[in-house]
Amino acid sequence: MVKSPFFVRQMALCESMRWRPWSGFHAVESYLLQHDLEYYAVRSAAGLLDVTPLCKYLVSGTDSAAFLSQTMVRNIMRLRTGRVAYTCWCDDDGKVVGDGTVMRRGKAEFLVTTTDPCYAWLHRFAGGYAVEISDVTDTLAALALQGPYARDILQAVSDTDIFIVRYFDTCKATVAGCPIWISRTGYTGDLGYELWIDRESALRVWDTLMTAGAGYALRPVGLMALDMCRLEAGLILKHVDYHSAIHAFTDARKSSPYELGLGWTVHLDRGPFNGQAALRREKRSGSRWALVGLDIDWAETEALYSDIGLPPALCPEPWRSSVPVYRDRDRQHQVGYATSGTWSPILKKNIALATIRSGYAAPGARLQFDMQVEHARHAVTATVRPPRFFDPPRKISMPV
Amino acid sequence: MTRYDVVVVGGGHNGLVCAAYLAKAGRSVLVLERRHVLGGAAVSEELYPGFTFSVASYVVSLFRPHIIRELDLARHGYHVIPMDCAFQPLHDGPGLARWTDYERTRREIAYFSRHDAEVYPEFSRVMTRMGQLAKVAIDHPPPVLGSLHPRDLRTMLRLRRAFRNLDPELQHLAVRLFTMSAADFLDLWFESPVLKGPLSASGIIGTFKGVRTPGTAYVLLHHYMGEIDGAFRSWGLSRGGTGSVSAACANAARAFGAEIRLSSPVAQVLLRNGRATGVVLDNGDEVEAKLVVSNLDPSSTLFGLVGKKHLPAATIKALSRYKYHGSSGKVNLALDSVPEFACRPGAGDHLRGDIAIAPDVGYLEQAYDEAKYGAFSRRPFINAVIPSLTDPSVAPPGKHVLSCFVQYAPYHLSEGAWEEQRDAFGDAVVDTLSEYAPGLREKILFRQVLTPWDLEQQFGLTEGNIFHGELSLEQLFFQRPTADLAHYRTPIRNLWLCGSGTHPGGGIMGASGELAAKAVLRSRHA
Amino acid sequence: MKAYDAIVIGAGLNGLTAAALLARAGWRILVIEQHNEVGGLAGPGILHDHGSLCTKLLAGLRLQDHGLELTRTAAPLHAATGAGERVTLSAEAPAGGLSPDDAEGYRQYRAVCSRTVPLFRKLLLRPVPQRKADFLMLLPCWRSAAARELLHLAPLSAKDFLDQFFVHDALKAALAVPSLQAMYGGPFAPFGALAILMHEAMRGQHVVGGLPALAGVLHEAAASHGVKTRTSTQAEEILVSKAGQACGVRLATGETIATRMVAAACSPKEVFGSLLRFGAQRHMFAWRTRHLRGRGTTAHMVLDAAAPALLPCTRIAPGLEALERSFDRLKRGELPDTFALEIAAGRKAAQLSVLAHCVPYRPKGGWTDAARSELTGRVMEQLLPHLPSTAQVSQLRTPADLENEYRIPGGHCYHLEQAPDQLLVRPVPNFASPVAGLFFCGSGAHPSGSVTCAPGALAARAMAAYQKPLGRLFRNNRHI
Repeated sequence: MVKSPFFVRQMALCESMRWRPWSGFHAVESYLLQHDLEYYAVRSAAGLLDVTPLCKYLVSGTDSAAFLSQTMVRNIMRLRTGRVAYTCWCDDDGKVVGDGTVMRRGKAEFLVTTTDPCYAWLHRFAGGYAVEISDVTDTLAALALQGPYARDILQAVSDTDIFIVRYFDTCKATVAGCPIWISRTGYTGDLGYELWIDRESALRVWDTLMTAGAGYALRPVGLMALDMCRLEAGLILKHVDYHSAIHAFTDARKSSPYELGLGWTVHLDRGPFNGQAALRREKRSGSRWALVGLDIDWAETEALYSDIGLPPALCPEPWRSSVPVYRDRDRQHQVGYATSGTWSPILKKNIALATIRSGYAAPGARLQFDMQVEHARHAVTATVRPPRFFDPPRKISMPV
Repeated sequence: MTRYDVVVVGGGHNGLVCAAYLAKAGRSVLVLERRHVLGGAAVSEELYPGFTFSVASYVVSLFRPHIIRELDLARHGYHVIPMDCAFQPLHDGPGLARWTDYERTRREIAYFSRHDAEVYPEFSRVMTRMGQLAKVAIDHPPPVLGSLHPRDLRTMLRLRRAFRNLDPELQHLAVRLFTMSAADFLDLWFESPVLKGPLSASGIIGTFKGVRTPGTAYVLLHHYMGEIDGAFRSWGLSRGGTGSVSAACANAARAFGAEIRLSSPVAQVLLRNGRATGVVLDNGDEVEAKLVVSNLDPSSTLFGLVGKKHLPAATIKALSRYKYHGSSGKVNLALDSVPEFACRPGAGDHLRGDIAIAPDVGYLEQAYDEAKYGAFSRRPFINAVIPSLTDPSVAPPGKHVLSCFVQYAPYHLSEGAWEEQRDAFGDAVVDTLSEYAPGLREKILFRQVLTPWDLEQQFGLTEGNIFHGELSLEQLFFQRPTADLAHYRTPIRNLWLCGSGTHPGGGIMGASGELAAKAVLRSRHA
Repeated sequence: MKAYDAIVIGAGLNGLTAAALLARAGWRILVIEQHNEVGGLAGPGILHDHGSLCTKLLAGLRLQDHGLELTRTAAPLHAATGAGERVTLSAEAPAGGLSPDDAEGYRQYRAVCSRTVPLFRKLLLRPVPQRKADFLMLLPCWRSAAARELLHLAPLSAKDFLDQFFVHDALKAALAVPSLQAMYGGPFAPFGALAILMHEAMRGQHVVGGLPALAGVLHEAAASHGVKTRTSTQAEEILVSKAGQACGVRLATGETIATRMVAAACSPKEVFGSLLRFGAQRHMFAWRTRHLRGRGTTAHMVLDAAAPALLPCTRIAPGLEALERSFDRLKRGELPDTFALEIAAGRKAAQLSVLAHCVPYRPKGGWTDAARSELTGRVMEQLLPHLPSTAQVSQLRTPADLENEYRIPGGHCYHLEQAPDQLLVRPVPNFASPVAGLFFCGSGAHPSGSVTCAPGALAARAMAAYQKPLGRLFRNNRHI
């Protein structure tokens, strides 16, 4: 296992001793025995998360924009310097291989970040382009500073004007004397920033942020809280909500961007790119599946518990197992499956992300969610809705 | 004198599995073993006080799980410990260890090639898919080519279904796989010669072919099908040596009522009116049986036990062309302490798996090039395991057993005889190992060297081929060992084959024994 | 200007065949050739096997009217068995100059060949079976005894196969030569038998005047049907429309020519390696073509010898083991001492054309002048007992030269090695590439195998069949 540069600090702070492997790194699941405090920190104050295990690739060279445009579904040629784009990349059949962000740092310099390695995939198409791909995962540390007060904390420690950084903007800054890159991005659906730091200066940045953040109730945050936040924001996760087309065992496990609700990232009408023809076809003829949010009826859940004389039990942790979703209460006709879900403390709801046959995926459709209550399985009504459950204005707004 | 329903000649693991299945079906079965121990090449022997060696066959993986279930082998002592790692020492750098954990492996491979590290799981996925296809082939008797018999059509349909389940790219690849060379096949994915070394080595095990020889990609797949607890590609060590796998099969056979006699070499098959009616032992005793099933390789059975004069000319011609080409030897060492590899010192987890001396494809090809003209490789491919690190029962505390599978050692030497060259061969192996593990020589308490010639003498393997005949395309599936012997039957009525020389062949698999038993039970005479 | 119906890239024998057949069916065809003469590898006589033309597939072209002359029977083959000694092996007559054992062996060898020929022809001279109906049609084929024999023999190495018949080592080596040319492997490598049998299956009537004559005849036939040929014209890119259809060719000069379809007679590796831009191709397919193997091991030499003492169609090869050792050295990037040589008449009367097999694609240190003269020196040394000492090498093409001169990545004469995994699926099972309207029609396409012109003819059929549903533009399709 590899240790992130923040490992020493995390080790000292991680009271729960709950760790999880993430891309070969030790990653904290939750620092405290109760992860919901960390969740609340993100939603009401600020949380600091080590995202060093993300795979990070520096793509440079005169052809890098053209190269990325042809590998990704999004037209990276149109991405302005200093902007970040969320995108996915597909195989020839228009099935998603991976998703991540592309940050344009300069005219011919991009930083690609993703949860899963994609060096080999990019490398495959690099032939014939004046482009160099280097893996900086181990040399570039990354922190996510997320929450309503993230901006104030960051402004307090950096020399740049953070207040003018717009949503999905990126800029250079100096924190504690260390040059870093800041992007207003994140995986929580809240106001937040991600900091890209050279490994040597990583600890100094962490310490500076923690000190400055003390006044804003900043907490280090683990993956469990992150998982809750990303579900509320309706953000999908590879290997959980979808499978990469190159690792999927059967065609049925592959999904297209349209099926994952990422149709908005696809720029079809431009020069050739990977999967273009297949995506065009799919756009014309429609998709078979749709990724939706499920709002699981609380009243019914409570009734099931009260029938057997129990108070309703909340699922204490976000879950990631596949749960069948039916059309009818008798659970005869399955129309899809939920891939992950959580109790949303802020919405006071059980929510889930689900892949549903497109005929049943219209918002407002009422489906039946398979739920186990005290050793018995029941059907609980779940209402289809767009996956973005929680979307505060502060996420994209600019301070006035 | 009792007359048995079936007499099984040879108590190798396939013979024992076959006997167990026949006994389970209610037949009275007698197994006759030439040696004083059971297991054939899957045998454990205490050659040096306190040290138990898996003398010949040393790792288990291909053993069909349904046989374990159907014969309840776990109750009879079948216990396989999965290996955690595949380690490849190198002269410079930390060497390469591939672990069961994907991330760990990715980081190891990334040291040599970042590209390969990420492609590795893609490759594994492809091999798993191919393995699923091959599994259909090895778990059923081979279809007769062009036959319209319902059973053959069913097998063909099953194969077709498995094939159609692959996506078109994989279908294309599956077609090519059977005739490609291991190195060419790996070139499709990988760029690092270091990774391709040990991977391609799986393609040459037990064959007299180089990694660049067409046809080795299938052997690679054959070894990739290893399966423990449903997980593909995992290899394991049998507790107490591979002899305990045979012992478990023997116990199962006995539990179903089979009788097993040791030290009873069979001299010939009794023939009456062209039918097998029993066997004659070396001491002249006759055992009568309705059927004779032979666990020996096809040539020993038909040329040795039956005799050419009783065989049709076509069979003689086809079987004379059947290639054995023994190419591997075995060196077993008893060690005073754990060997230490210079590139990764200490007795860490990386030693608790198989250790391959296959630094790159060129090294393996060079080893083959030396051998194809009739000399053993001076710097051979070695696959070593130290079972005592995971299974303390095989060596005294602190002492260790090092079991080395070595290739290439051609059965036919161009100069000299194996009896004279045995020690030189052993030295070549120890020298090669010592290059990577300095100080190994001083730790050796005892050394056993088995050349192909010794394997033939000791285990009756013709030309020392560990798989009872090469795994090359023209003698696989419906052509194994030859087209007219391919369905476990022989031209001699009531004489059947159940050894590794029949489909699917090779490795401690048990499948040949099982499929032979089932074929016997289906026939009219059983 | 009206677009062409098809542009054929490469005026090799296959390209000309496809062009002529399509033009005969009423298509407007343009052939682009980078060299200043047509014929591809056949032009300067780099290919020797002029006895394997599939006349049946070309019947529609009436090549005889354009000057094609065929010998009545297959020309005999000579194998040098010692200094100045040789034996004559002909398909029909019993072999001359052989020991009784070898003569009997040769009889049996011929018997095996003639038993498997129909099967080969059935499999190779038609598109690869893909649909259920095709397989059912082939079923009787598979049930035959010949199929069983073939299945058993094909995976054998040249050595194992020939050992069954012959005693004389040099004779065996001479017969093993086709396997050396077709595959990347020595005589000990499996599937050598397949290459030998395939070669034998295709052997038939010889073209009088050799392959350069054939190229001329095909060119004339094509021209008579209205095919335009532009020599000294290099294709730079195959243009693909937004809808994914091949729609034109851009030349090195920058000129673009519009077309409905493109037939690439050049190496598939070249098509997917440099003629198609990214995005026009499927990455899995591009990946697959990138990994197709075409490692050439054949060098071509032109010898000036005033009075050739040696008959054309002669093979000189040391024994099988010596060849295998040569191949070992080749693998390691060294220049072997001995080669397998094939000698044919040159283009001029006083010339001989020599093919040397077991030559490394690129020896360690590259093809320096020293390495080149080393190669010619060693070849001459081997030839010397059979030739007047005045003979001189006037031209040498190493595999690397073939690669550069003819844009064949790897420099293999047949574009791709005829390894069994690259036979029926080379590089696509039928001639249509994943790019709509782009077809393979060169030696790299099915069935390849010496100079048959079958890839061109079969590809022309496939192209006609592809066009058919699109409209009744091409009335005469049925003639193809």
